[in-house]
Amino acid sequence: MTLANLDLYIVGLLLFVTASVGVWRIATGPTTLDRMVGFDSVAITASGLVLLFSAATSSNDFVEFVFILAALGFLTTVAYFYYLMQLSKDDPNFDPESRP
Amino acid sequence: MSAVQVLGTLAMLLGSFLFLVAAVGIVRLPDVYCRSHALGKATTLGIMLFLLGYGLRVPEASWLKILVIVLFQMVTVPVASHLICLMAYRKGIGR
Repeated sequence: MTLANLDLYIVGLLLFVTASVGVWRIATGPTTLDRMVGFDSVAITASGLVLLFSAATSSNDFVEFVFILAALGFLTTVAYFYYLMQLSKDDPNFDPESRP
Repeated sequence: MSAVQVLGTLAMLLGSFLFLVAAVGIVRLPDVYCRSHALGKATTLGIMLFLLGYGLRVPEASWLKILVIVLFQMVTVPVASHLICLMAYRKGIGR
């Protein structure tokens, strides 16, 4: 660990803290929607990690990954929203707090 | 390290500080609405600052791709946060 890129180590440490908090929220969220919030946190942190790697290696090849990761996170949220809408249409007494 | 790269490093540090703010919000806030609010707002500005810092640090970075990704994140991250809050409201999860 050289002192020249100590700033990028600090950025990586803070991103690691955010991703760990997202995983902890996925594990211990009281409702299903809390777990969706944790998954969003992990997905956005992953695109931040790709940008950190690009800045650390001064490479130009990984910017498309950020777009793909952002699109995947958003489409996952929309798909889960649609799934919960369909569930609530079938069962009016559906309660997401009772699901594991 | 030139002055532009120092500016890029400062932008990345500020962006990671905003990510830390989102992490504190996810841990400390009491319910789904507050957590989704903290995540959506802080990480939108955080990822924009990350892209700015990447564009300033890497000399041959394409600003067109960075602009497209910033616009896409500006549209999608608040919409995802809003969808989570809307589903929580429809399911009757109270505050």
